[in-house]
Amino acid sequence: MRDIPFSNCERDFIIQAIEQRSRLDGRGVYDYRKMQLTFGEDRGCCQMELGNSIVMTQVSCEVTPPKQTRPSEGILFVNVELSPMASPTFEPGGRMSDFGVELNRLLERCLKESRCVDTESLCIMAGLKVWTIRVDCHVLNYDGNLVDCCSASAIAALAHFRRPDVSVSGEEVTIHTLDERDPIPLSIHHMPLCVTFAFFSQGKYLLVDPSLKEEKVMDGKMVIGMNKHREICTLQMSGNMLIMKDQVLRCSNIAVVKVTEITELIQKSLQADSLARSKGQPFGFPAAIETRKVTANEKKSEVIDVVGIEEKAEQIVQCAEESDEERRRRRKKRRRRRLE
Amino acid sequence: MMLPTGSEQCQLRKMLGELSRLSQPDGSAMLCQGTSTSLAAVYGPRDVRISKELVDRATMDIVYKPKTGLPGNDARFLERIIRSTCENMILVKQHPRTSIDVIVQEMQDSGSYLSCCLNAVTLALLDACLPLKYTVAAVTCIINREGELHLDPTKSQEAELNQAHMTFVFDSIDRNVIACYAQGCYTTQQYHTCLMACQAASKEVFSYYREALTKKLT
Repeated sequence: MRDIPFSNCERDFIIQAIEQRSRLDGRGVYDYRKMQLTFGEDRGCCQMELGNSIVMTQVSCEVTPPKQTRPSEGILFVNVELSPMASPTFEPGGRMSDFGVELNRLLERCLKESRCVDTESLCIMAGLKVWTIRVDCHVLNYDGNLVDCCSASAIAALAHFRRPDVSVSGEEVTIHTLDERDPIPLSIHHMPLCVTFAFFSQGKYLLVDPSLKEEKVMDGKMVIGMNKHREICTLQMSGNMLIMKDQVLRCSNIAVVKVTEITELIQKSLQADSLARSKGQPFGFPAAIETRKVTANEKKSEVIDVVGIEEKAEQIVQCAEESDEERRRRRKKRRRRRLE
Repeated sequence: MMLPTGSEQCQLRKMLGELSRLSQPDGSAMLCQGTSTSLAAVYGPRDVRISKELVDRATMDIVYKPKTGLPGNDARFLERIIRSTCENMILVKQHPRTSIDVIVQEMQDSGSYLSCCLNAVTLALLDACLPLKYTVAAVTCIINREGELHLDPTKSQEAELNQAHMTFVFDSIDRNVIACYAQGCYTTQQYHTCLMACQAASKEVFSYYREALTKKLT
């Protein structure tokens, strides 16, 4: 479906509001929307909610031959899926839209080129077998600022993931099942996170974490990928605008604060998840649903009355057999009559 | 054969769901049956591409998204079952030249996944306020190696050497079978026993729908 056009009236309203330093949802200029991380039952499954934007990431692994240029390094593969459920404008089917390609490339740059995952530790046998780590980001709901949401959920999922243990003896490689040996976490050097800044009125005003409506109005945006050690991993600018040098510096200073906040949130969520797992408390998606919401509902399991079902089934089968026999008898009679 | 001995075997796992989970679609629902979780979203009736337009009925577009990798044969299979069930349930003739899109996202597969997906889709359709002929409830059961009936099996129970694995879909009016998917080796009597046990269990699912919507709408 085509995008719903944005009226000039609404556009002017949003820009006017931004000029008065206020936003539609009542946030401050440098505020993020509410962030929530949920980990699934499977290892390496993480759902990130940023306001109404929701992204779920699943990390998986398989054994493959390495790239010929890098025979002793594992492979990290990043894939962003713009699911048609996320927005009416996302089309189903294999071909990726320009927006999807941009998002995918940005995330790839943020995760792969910052070398946050130690790919050398993913080598099993140099030149023959390495682990390929696959990161699938599924966008479930699109309400602006997908880059930040995807990058946070991807790095959290990578930190949550465990790969099976392997042992090598000579030429033989054994992959141990989860029951035999405890799976191993990936070695992650640092957590690069993206922070998006939206610019309005030729770079005069800037906002952190633009929502969908603000994204439609903005002149352009700048994405800064950074880790908590204040190292910039990626920097990308897009849109029709020119900005001043000191604005870039100001943005990177804001990004430092935001990245520290998000990293803390990820660490806290990871700890809460591992605590729940070790203590045998409920975890995963069912545990994250708040039952006191009016839209949520819970139903305890009840024993279902199955008494007498077997006898009924027997009767049905007998009935069917009897009627079958009757039919056969009738057919015989008819045939006899015809012969007479 | 074969009636379950333990009470755990003849009950559905805990059901937990959230309606209107996503803000963009017209209707959406996340449903957890035990720890099996699936997310369904519905768009429609909305405009349809000319190439897909049908003059006498709505075009149903079903997409199933697996968690890892590209959708393969399993996804196509699930899509087909969901499509045939939805076409029965939705009054497609009432919305000609439109498209109704159903998207199902796998979140966590821990057994009885087909029924979890179908129930989530029904909840999403109810949330989208689409006029339906009836609602449907799906229940999965297995006959294990000892020939015992087991309702709503978990992934590890499904992975064992079972005699048969069946999923039944019932309508809400007469509790008739809308769809049935069965695998394995079983006698006619076993089939009927499974059918009736699932039919009895479907009452629980329907009452869950009612509770969930009552809570949302009051």
